[in-house]
Amino acid sequence: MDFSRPFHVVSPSLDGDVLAVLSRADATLTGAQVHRLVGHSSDEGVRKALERLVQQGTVEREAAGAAYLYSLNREHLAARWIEGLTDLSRQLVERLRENLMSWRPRPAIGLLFGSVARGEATKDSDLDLLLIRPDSVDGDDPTWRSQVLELQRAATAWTGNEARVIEYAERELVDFAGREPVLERAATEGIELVGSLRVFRRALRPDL
Amino acid sequence: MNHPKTIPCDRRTIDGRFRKADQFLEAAETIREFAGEEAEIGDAYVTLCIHSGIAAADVICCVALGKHARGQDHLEAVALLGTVRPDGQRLGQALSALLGMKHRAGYAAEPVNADQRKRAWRNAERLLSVARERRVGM
Repeated sequence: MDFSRPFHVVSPSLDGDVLAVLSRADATLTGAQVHRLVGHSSDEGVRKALERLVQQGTVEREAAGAAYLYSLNREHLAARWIEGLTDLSRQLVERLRENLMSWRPRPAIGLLFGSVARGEATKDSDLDLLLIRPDSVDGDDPTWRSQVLELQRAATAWTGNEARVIEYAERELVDFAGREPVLERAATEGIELVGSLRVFRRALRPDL
Repeated sequence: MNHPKTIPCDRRTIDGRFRKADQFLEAAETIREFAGEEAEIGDAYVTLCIHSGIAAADVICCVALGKHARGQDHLEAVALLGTVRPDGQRLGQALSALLGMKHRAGYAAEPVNADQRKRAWRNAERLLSVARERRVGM
């Protein structure tokens, strides 16, 4: 999926991008504001999409002087699905957290990082996950390995983006501190799924 | 002359304000760790938490609304954050709690207390965590 354009999972239309913009705000927006937040297409195209959605009843329009103000009609039967589609990124983070929290043994730290965490992912981007394995768990532990594989399978199925798990043992963090760019990137941009991002950063900067 | 209450923002603003939110909270944690007694650096610590929360709130507003509140207009900042779906009201309360400590931490003669230090950290961390997650879908 394209994380910045969640409606494209069902229909690659400008109308979906407009709905996503209106769904994120409890406010009325002008056509120009909607166009700026959509971030692509023409001003005219966005206004036509808004008019189509007004006709469907999903968008409400009110006059304000010479301009119109638009908002999502949250009473519309479709509103809960519009809000749900807009919210796919947050749902992904929640689902990854639930999955990792159910692990036995559980990772010491689990982070989502890479282009998805930076808000730069497209439908072709990998879903990068970093897992720090507790030193008490062997890397070949069959339960651990099956949990990693199942997470990769599930996360790929949830999004259509290939989930890529990078794994380190806790004790390796000190050895690789300052020498492994992928760990530095995860420390900068990582989203906490399990364990503490701050503890992870401290482990990479033992001199602090 | 009336200044507008909000400022439009783009990707550069989002990334820059996010870096600052992260940096301020990281600095808050660092000075807490290096302090012999936490109360001795309490005002600096809380001030850093507040600045982190303000920057994180700007990121959340920019992603959802394409604009953030002007620097000194705290009421507008809380109100604007309150319009972000789906949890803007709750986030606005976190920002409001932080802004409520700004005078005591930065300008008053009396230092902040242990409860304020705890609340400042908790609310700043919540806002930064949400800011980090909202960038995923921008």
